[in-house]
Amino acid sequence: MNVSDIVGEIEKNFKAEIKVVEREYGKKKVKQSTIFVRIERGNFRKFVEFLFTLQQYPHFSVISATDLGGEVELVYHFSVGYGDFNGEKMVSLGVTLPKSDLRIESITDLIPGALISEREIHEMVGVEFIGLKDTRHFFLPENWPEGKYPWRRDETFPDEMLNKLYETWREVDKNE
Amino acid sequence: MSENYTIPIGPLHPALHEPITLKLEVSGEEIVGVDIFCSQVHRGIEWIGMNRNNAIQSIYLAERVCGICNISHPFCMVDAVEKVTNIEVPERAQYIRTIIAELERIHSHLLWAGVAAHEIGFDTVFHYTWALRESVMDLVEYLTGNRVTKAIFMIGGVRRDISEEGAKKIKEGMRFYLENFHKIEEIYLHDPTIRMRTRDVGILTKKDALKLCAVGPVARASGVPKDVRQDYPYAAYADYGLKAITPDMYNGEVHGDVFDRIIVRLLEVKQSVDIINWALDNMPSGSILAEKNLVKLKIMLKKAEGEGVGRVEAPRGEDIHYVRLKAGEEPFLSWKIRAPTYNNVLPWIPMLLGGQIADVPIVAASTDPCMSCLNRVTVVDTNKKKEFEITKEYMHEQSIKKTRRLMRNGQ
Repeated sequence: MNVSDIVGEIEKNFKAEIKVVEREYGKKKVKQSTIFVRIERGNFRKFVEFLFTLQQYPHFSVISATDLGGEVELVYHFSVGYGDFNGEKMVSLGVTLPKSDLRIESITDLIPGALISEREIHEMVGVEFIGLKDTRHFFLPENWPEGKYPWRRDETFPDEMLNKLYETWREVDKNE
Repeated sequence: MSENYTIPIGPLHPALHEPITLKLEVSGEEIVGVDIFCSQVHRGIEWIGMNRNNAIQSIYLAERVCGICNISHPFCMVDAVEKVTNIEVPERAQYIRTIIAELERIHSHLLWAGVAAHEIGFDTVFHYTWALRESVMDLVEYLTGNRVTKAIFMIGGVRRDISEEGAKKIKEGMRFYLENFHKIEEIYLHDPTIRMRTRDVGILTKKDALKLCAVGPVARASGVPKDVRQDYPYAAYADYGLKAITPDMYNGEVHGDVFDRIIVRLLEVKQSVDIINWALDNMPSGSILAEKNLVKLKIMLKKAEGEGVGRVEAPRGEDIHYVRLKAGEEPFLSWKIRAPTYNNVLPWIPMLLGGQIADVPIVAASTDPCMSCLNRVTVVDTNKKKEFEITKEYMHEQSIKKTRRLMRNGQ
C-alpha cells in the first residue's frame, strides 16, 4: 500500500485537507512518509472506520492537543501497514473543536487501546468524549479541582497552583 | 469460597522501582478483576516544554523523561523538530545515533532480564546479568562521558564523534557480548525452573495485542511483527533493513507468554550487537552536526512554523513525540510525549486475569514497565471491612515459594 493510494482513497471518500510529509534517511535515502489529514468533526468517526478498511487493526499511537486560542485541535496519530520493511505509513488525523463545544465521539469501542489517551485529553484539556464510559482521572490526582485544565492556554489554566502543588497535597492528605 | 477481595497494589509496585497503582479483585488466589491508576510521577514535562524552555533546552528535559530510555526520548524529539525546520542530518550523525540507541537497548534488555530473574527469586542470575551489563555501561560512559543521561543529541546531529579508537573499543565490547551470549541463553531459555514460572503465564493473545495497540517486545512476543525500526525506518536503520523478531523465529511457536517475552528480548540483544558492528563497518565520514553555531540554530528555530512527528523504537517499544512550533515563539506551541509503557499498560488486564497473586510480579515485570516498585500492599476484605497489609517482602517471598514449590514438584 503506497502513499498515493491512501491519499487517493481519502480524497475519494472525504472532504479533507491533506498534506504529505516525506523525509529521507540513511545513505540509501529511504523515504519515510506521514500523511496529515484535517477533517471536519462530522466526518471524524467515518474516517476512523475508513482506516479499518486499510488494515484490520489500525495502530493507534496517541492523541495530541493544541490550544489555538478560540479552539482546540486534536491530532490522532494512527499508522497502517506494519510488518514489512518501510511498509508503514502514518496517518495523523486532525480535528478542530470550538471551545464553546468541546465534544467528539469516543473511538474506544473501535480501538480499545485508545482508552488511556482519551482519559488523558479529557482531564488535561477538558474535551468530552461522547460514549467514553470511564472518565475518571488517569494522570491527575483524584482530588484535582473541576474546570481546571493544565494544557489549556486560557482562564481555565490552574495559575494559582503553579509551584504550589506541594501545598495542595498537604491540605488534602492530613492523615498521612 | 464465593466472596471476592480487592487488593490494591502500589502506588509502589512489585515489579520495578517506580510508582503505579493496581487494584486486583481476587477470588481465593485467582485474579478476577484488574484496574490500573497512574499519576504518581506526572511531572508536567510537556508543560515545561510548552511554556518555559526553548527547543534546545527541551532536548535535555526530554532526556529526563526516563532514566533508562534516555536516548529514545531526545532522539524522537530532535527528529520531530528536524522535520518541522527541514534540517538535514549528516549521514555520520545518523549512524552515531543508531549506535548509541542500540547500546541503550543492550543495557535496557539486560537490566530487564536481571529484574525478571530477581522477581522469581534467582538472585544469583540477577547479579550475574547485571555484572554483564556493566560492560555496556562502561562503553556508554567512554563514548558520551556519562553512564545515564548522555547529552549527546543536538538538533541537526550529535555532539560527540566516535573516534577510531572508540570504534575499536566498541567492537571489543561487542565481541565480549557475543562470547557471553550463549551463557545467558543457557540460563534463561534452558533452565527448567524459569520455564515453569514463565511458560503460559501472563498470556497476551495476538488479537488482544492488536486491539490494545501493544508495542515493542510485548507485541512481538504475541506474534505481532511491529517494530518502528522495520516499519517506519529512521536514521541508519533505513540502510540496515531490520526484521522484527518474533518468538517463532527461535522455536517455531508463539505463546504470547512471559517466556516468549524473554526470548524476544534476548534475541534482540544479539540483533543489537549485529547492528552496532554493521554500523561501525559502514560508517560514512563527514560532519556530525548540521549547524554548529547555536545562536544561528536558535534563531532558525524561532522562525520555524509547523508540525512534526518523531517515532523511535525504544527498548520497550514505539516512542512517539508530536511537536508543533509557532513562528516568533521559543517554547513549543504543542508537545506530546507518548512513551511505550503508555500503550503497554492496558494489556496487563488480559495478562493478569485468571492468574495468581504470586504471578503478579513477574507478569508486570515482563512488560518491562517504565514507571514503577511495590513497597506495600493493603488487602481489604470488603465484606468484613477489615484491612491488613502485605509488605513487598511478603509478596516477594510468596513468589520465591512458588518457584521452590514448582522445583520440588515439577521434576
